Amino acid sequence: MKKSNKFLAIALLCFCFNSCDDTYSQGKRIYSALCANCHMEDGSGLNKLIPALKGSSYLSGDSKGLVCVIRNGFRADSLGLTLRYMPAHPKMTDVEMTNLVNYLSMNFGNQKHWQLSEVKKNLQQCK
Amino acid sequence: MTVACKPGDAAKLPVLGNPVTENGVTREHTIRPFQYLSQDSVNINNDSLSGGVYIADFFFTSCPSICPRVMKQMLRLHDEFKNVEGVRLVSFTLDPKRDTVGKLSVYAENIGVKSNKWLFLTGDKDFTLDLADDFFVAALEDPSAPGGFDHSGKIILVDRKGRVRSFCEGTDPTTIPDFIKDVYTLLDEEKQ
Repeated sequence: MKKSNKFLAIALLCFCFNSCDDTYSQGKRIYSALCANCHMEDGSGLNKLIPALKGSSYLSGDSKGLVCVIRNGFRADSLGLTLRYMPAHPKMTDVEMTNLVNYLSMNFGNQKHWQLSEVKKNLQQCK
Repeated sequence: MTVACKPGDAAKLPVLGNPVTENGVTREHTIRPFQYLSQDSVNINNDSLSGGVYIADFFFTSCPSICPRVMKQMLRLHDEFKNVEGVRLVSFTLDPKRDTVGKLSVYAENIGVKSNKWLFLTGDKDFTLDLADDFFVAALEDPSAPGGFDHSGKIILVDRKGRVRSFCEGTDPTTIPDFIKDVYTLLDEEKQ
């Protein structure tokens, strides 16, 4: 292999590793900024008040509903109490959403690898 | 935090705050008289808490910022002292308009508190904002802050005379072990 080709191959390899690393590091940054105050850095939550992420039905099986609950949030309490409440995140881009759900799946869930196209399709199906 | 003490006085925590002189009489800084309703709709005042030491914080149930992190550490302290006589936990809401007795009761249940070891108190908002000063906690109403209130996440230790003896940062779990030691130090002091 020529010297210049070798250099190109190494540069490409570095780019790939950086890109891969960036996928999860952005997801982690989003998680720390938007989710960790309530769900805690380790995803343990706060008893019945704030659900733990480990073992959550949103992060098992086909993770149905995960992107929708992040996008739309929910207010589960019909009495109007702000307990068991999760805020909506309407401004999160599809790419940010993909990075976040990949971080969640890898750290707290079923190791599912989300593709951007799948996230977009799921978001379109949100009620 | 562990507060440095004088040599030979290792088992005693200092009394925090500046002494106050009134009518020529100097007294130590203490928490002003208060009266609140607990999550069980029971009247709670300073006398109700004078049978032991208590650990206090300020919060509101709809707080979207630091409160869950602080509550996690309060829960840790609750679990540490749940079987220790003479220690209670007290959480004052800054938002009594939304945090009614009924709501605090649901909140306590969801956190997993079943006894009166940990009191969630609601009362007059303006009084509570002033009361926070006595605990050296910054708290103010601010429409631009998340949830409408700005406040620090300090957790405060108060002795049976209503004096502040130690504190830690509820947002920093690494400060809790030394705070727990301070609580035990105060309990030992109060036995003497």
